[in-house]
Amino acid sequence: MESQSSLEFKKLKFSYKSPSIDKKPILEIDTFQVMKGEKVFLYGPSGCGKSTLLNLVAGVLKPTEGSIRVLGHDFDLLSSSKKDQIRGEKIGYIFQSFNLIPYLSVKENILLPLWMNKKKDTSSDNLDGILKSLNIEELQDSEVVNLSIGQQQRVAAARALVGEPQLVIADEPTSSLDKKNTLEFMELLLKKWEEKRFTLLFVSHDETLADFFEKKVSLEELNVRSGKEQ
Amino acid sequence: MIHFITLKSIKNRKFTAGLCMASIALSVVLFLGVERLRKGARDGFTNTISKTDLIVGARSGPLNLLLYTVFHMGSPTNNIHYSTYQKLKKNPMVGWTIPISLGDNYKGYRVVGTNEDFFKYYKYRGDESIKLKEGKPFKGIFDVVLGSQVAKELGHKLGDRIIISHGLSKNALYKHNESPFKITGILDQTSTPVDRGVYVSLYGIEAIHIGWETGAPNEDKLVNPETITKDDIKIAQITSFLVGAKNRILTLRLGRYIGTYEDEALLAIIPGMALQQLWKTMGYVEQTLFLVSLCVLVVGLLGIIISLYTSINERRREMAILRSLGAGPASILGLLVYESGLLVFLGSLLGVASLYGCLFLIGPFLESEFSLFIPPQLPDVKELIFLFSILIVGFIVGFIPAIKAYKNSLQDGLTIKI
Ligand SMILES: Nc1ncnc2c1ncn2[C@@H]1O[C@H](COP(=O)(O)OP(=O)(O)OP(=O)(O)O)[C@@H](O)[C@H]1O
Ligand SMILES: [Mg+2]
Repeated sequence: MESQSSLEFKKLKFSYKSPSIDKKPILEIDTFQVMKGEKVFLYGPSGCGKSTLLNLVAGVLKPTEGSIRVLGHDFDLLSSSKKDQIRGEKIGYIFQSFNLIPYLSVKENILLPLWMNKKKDTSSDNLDGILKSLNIEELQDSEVVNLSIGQQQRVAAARALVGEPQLVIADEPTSSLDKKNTLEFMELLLKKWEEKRFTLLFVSHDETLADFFEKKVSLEELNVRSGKEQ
Repeated sequence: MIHFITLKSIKNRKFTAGLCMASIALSVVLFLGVERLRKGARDGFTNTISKTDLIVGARSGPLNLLLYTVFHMGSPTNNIHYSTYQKLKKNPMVGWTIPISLGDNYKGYRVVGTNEDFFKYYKYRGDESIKLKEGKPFKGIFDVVLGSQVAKELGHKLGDRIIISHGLSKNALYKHNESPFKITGILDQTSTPVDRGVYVSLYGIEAIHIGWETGAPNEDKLVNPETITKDDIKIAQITSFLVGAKNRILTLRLGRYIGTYEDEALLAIIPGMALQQLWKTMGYVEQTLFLVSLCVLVVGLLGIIISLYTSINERRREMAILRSLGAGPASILGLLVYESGLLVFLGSLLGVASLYGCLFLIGPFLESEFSLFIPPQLPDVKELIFLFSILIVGFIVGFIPAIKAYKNSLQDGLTIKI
């Protein structure tokens, strides 16, 4: 049972500044668990700490108190460089916008995680498959700056997926897209999820997207702190 | 990997990166160029005359003796007896001598009375001897050999006849009209004061002054250049002479012997030492040049800091992306330090290449116009140390923007703040 969980918070507290007496932590989560291969929709109003939580999951921030287990690693105990390594190898991350490095081509952007984590082989089959399934085959040699936002987000998804990660984190990846592009993006991403069954942690404040997911989590409800305040 | 990203990133910011590299290159060129010029000038200067162990003249200031004998500057206060010269020449410690007799000029160029030993023993810039570009050394009393610059500036050819003026000043009152000299040879360029000399035999000097004992021509006593022979001429004095000791170790002893010579008050100086002393008095010029090139270098390095520092904010997003792909803050730091280091490295490389390009292009011009010979040799230890320190400083300087990026990326994490 334990080994089936991909993400597990226990008595987690987090605040940006050192926890002074009267400052309440931004996040205070008693328990939170995501199983392997699950896709989770995490929502909440702006400023409630969604991105902060993702940074904790990605191992960039360290919990002030409590424990956090990601893909079987105790992130509250590991060194930052070890967490950086795990993030590079096992986690894919999609930003809200401007995901791409402007001076690299589309193909270079997608291959970047493979180059940075030398352990993985740069198999071109994998790349072609991803390009095809995300509908960006023709764009691979384009300049990043010439892409539309919708295309950019799909390239970002391709980059997050190319290393076959066990966990994919998406921080409002569709908030800069229009309706049509949003739907296309969601369909392609979830098609990939059907295929690969990675754990997907999808954050948005757009609750209309919740229909794509079975498991929906409101951070406000999860967060003890904000619960108390209400 | 880091190299690839850095190259791409530099390429993306071609213009500012190019400017940075150019300013580094410029300072390297200036610094090394000035260094080379300085060395060229010093070597040229201290090697104006070489292999000569002693310069001997009448007792006056050592600097003065050096200036008029070697550089054709200043005026000799006194002459020495030819008999003294001949006696000293036979001294067993003496290997060779070159007599020098000054006092006249040709259109501002000094006339040097000497003998065939000048062609045999005079050495400059190490082991170079005087060579004739055309013609032969002087043989007859009224033969003359021109230094290369004299021939070039005045447009003289072999066989031309020239009239020498009395005295060292160009605007001489009297000219030796009655006894023209015939050009029998023109010297190769040496890039030393030799190029500015007009060389005749001691007999020639003596001949044109017969009848001039009062300092002005006495029509009755003047010689007839057609009929006079060397036997008619008795050389009475010379201005100074160069000495090559039979053995270098004897130089000091010989110098002391000559300095305390009983029959005549003489002064012997070691030209190498005198030249170096003279050069040192001009040290402030070197220091100024050094400071100027150091300033340019500082500007170049500042340029790198500024351009990287201002780009750090624009690049926060890029850093967050790299972090999401597994780069730690330390890698971000490394990336930027590498980038500035690479800029400095490429800049210095460009600088060194431009330096050799410049030397290749303007070297011949410097030699012909300024008598400045700058050998296109490989960088010496001092220059390598300089280049190496630029690299080190470049890497250190790179830390300033990099630490800012490091702090940013610690703070931003995977949140893009723009
Ligand atoms: N680096 C930081 N230092 C200090 N406080 C921060 C930092 N980043 C975020 N915060 C604060 O933490 C709280 C949560 O921020 P967070 O970015 O996680 O919200 P969010 O839910 O992602 O909002 P949005 O939907 O607008 O992206 C905010 O009040 C914010 O001001
Ligand atoms: Mg957010």
